[in-house]
Amino acid sequence: MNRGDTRLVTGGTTIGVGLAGFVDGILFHQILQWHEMVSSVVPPIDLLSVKLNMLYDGVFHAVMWVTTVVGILFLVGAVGEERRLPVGPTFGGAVLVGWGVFNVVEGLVDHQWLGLHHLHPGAGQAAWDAGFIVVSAALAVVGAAVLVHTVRQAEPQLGAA
Amino acid sequence: MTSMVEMLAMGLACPDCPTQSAAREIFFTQDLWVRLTGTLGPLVVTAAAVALFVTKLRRYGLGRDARRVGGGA
Repeated sequence: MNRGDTRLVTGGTTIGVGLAGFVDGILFHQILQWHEMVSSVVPPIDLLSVKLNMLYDGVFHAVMWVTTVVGILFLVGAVGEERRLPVGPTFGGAVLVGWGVFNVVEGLVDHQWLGLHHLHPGAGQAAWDAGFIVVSAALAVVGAAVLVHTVRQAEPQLGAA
Repeated sequence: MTSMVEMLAMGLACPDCPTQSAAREIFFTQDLWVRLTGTLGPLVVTAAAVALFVTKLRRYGLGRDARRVGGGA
């Protein structure tokens, strides 16, 4: 891996984190409305509590937006660099790693440790939370396997040390 | 269906409506750090994990290059 490859992988993982956050916020918070950012500690039962959850959702989305921009900047940096790894599997694997790792950490911190919200509150919420972590970990493992395989397939760089 | 004009009149949706002000007041005064930890903490932990992963992957790639160029396994 050279510097261009490293930037591509870093950009891919960072964008994966941002995409994971957007899917969580847009799909689960807004479209399906299964939960909101702090809905297990401030249940959205009236206008004020809905607005407070909306405010925390906004902070979360803002952070994910900045994260995505940082990922794009890494990609822009990779464009002008020499790269040896193929773009498709390298970027795809990196996105899966970022997506999966972020969801695992978010699931452990927010769902299990702080209990700010649960994926699908109510009956069976523990199973939903566990399933979320397991699926996310699988995404990360698949992404890492794709990346390692891609690095193994790459031709060696002369003079590498 | 309540129109936007009616919502404004009721104080539900405007920059300084009572509910907005109250939500901001609660945001800054009640459990701010615990909730911000939940909102921002996963990103910080993930950034560290990703940085570690990219570093290891790069070392793996460089080590593999060195072995192959040097005629090793």
